[in-house]
Amino acid sequence: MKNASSFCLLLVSLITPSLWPIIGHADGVFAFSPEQAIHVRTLAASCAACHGTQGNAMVKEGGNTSEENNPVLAGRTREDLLSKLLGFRDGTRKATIMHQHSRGLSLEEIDLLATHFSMQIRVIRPPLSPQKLEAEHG
Amino acid sequence: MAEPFNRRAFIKAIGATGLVLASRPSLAMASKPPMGRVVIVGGGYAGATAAKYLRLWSLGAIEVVLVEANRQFVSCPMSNLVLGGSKSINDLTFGYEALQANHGVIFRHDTVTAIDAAAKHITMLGGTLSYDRLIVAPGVDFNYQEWPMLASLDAQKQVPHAWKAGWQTVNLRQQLETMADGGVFVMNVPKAPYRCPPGPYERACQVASYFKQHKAKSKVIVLDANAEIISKKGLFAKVFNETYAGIIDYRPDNAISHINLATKTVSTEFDSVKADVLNFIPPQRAGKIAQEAGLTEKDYPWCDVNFLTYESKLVPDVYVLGDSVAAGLPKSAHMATNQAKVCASAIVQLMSGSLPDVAPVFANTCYSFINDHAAMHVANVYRYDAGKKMMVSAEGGGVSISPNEKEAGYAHAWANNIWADTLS
Ligand SMILES: Cc1cc2nc3c(=O)[nH]c(=O)nc-3n(C[C@H](O)[C@H](O)[C@H](O)COP(=O)(O)OP(=O)(O)OC[C@H]3O[C@@H](n4cnc5c(N)ncnc54)[C@H](O)[C@@H]3O)c2cc1C
Repeated sequence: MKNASSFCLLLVSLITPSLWPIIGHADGVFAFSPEQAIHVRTLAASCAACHGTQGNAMVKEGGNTSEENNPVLAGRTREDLLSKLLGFRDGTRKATIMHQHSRGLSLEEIDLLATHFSMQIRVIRPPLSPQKLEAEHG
Repeated sequence: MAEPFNRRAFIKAIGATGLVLASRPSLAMASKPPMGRVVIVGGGYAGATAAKYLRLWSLGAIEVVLVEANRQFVSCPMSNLVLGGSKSINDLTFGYEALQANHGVIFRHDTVTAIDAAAKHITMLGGTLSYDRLIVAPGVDFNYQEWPMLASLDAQKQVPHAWKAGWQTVNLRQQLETMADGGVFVMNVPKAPYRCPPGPYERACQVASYFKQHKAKSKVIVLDANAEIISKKGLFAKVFNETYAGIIDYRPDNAISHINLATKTVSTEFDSVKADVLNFIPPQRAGKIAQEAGLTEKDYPWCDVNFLTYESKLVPDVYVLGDSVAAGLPKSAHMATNQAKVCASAIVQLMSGSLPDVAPVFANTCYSFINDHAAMHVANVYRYDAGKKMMVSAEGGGVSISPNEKEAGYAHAWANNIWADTLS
C-alpha cells in the first residue's frame, strides 16, 4: 500500500472521481486500490451518524467531551486509531459500543478505516441550528 | 508524531480542493452537468443523504434534484422525547438550506404524483422533470384499509399515530398534558416489520416517565400485535417490570381487532380497554409513490432491490432507499443513511463507467431513551452476503448492559451528528 510513486495516481484521482479518495500519510503516501477506495468510503461514511461527516464529530459548546461530544476521528494518527480499534476488538480497551462494531469488521477494514480517518482534515463545526415547526408541515 | 510537512500538506490541500469543488454549486450547474442528472423523490434521512453524497463523491459532476413535499425536515428520532417532555418539536426541525448552499443540491418543494420510467421523467404537482437515474425514498405509507374510521385528518386529531414526526407528535403531547391524573394511555405495536422496531417500546417508557414524575396515578397499556417485545427485549422487559412497575402494563400477542373512536375503546381478542388518550400506530407499507410506480410486487408491501446498488428489481434505473426497502433489517434512520451512501457510491461509479463495491459493509447504532436521562443501545455491523444476495448481520453485535446516563450523552451526540451529516 505504501508507495511514493502513487503521487501520480493521486493526481489522476482528481480527475477520475471513481478513484477518489486516494490518500497520503505522514510517513509516505498510501494509495488505496480502486476497490479499497470504494469499499472504505461507504464504510467510513457509515460512522458519520456518531462521529460526523468524514469523522468530524459535532462539537457542542458546554458538552462534555466524552459524552455529549463524541470522539472526533478526522486527522488523528493512523497508529492511534489502529491501536484503539484493535484494543476494542480484542477487549483490552474498555468500550460501551465500539467493541461490538469492531468485532464486525475485518482486520483489513480496520486498517482502511484508520488510514482513511487519519487523512481527513479536522474541521470544527457546531451542531445544525433547529427551526420552529411551521403550521403547514404535513 | 513527526510530520514531514510537504507531502502531507500537499495531499491534504489537494483533498481540500476536491471538497471545495464538490461543494460549489455554480461550477456544476453553469452548464449541462458532465455526468447527468439524478432526481430524488423524498428528502427524509435516505433521500437527503443520497443527495449530499452524490454531490460529494461525483465532485459536483452529477446534477442532483431533491424533490420534497415539505419545506422542513422533522426528525422522527428523538421525537418520543417530545412525548416525555424533555424535547420540543422545535429542537428536531431543520431546513434544507445548507444542503443547497454547501453542496449545490437543487431543492424542489413539491409533491411527486407520477413516475414514467419508460420516458424517464416524473410528474409533480408543479411540473415535470426528466432524469438519467431516479431515487425513490418516500418513507412509509400508513395502511388504513382495515381502519377506515382512522383514515381522516379529523380522526387523527383525536387518535394520532405520531409515527411521522410533526403536528401529530405535538398533538399527542398536548393530550397527555391535558389528561387528568389517574387516566389511561393506550398504545399499540403493529405487527413487524414496521418503521423503527424499538420505537413503540421507547414511546411507552417516555410516557411512563412523564406520568411517574407528574401524574403518578396514571397508567400506560401497551397492546403488542407481536408475540413478544421485538427489539432490545431483555432491556425493555426489565425497565417495564422494574422502573415502571405499576405504570406500564405490557400485553404481548394482543393485536387490536376493533376501535370505537367515539369512546376511545379498543378491543383485542382477549381484552377491551377504554383509553383517555389513544395512540394508534397503523400497519405500514412502502411509500405511496413507490407502490404507484410499480416498485412493489402485487400484494407485497415493500420494494425489492439489488443490495449492491439499491436499484429496483422491477424497474430499471430507479433506485429505492430507506424504510420502503424490503431489507429484512431494522427500518432505522441510520440504516436509511447507510443505504443512501451505498447507493450514491454505486451510482457515481456506474455513471463514470466503473463498478460498484461488490461487498458493502455498514454499521447501525440505535439508541432508546427510557426517561430524560438514561438510554440504551443496539449496535450491529451488516455485511453483504454474496450467496444470499443481501445484507446480513456480522459477528459481534450486541446491546447495552443496562440503560445509563453516559449513553444518553452518546445518543444526543448521535442525533446532532446524523442531523448534520444528512442536512449540511
Ligand atoms: C417515533 C420514532 C422514533 C424513531 N427513532 C429512531 C432512532 O432513534 N434511530 C433511528 O435510526 N431511527 C429511528 N426512527 C426511524 C426513522 O425515523 C426512519 O427509519 C427514517 O425516517 C427512514 O428514512 P426514510 O428517508 O426512508 O423516510 P422519511 O425520513 O420518512 O422520509 C421520507 C420523505 O419523503 C417525502 N415524500 C414522500 N412521498 C413524497 C412524494 N410523493 N413527493 C415528495 N416527497 C415525498 C416525505 O415528505 C418525507 O420527508 C424512529 C421513527 C419513529 C417514528
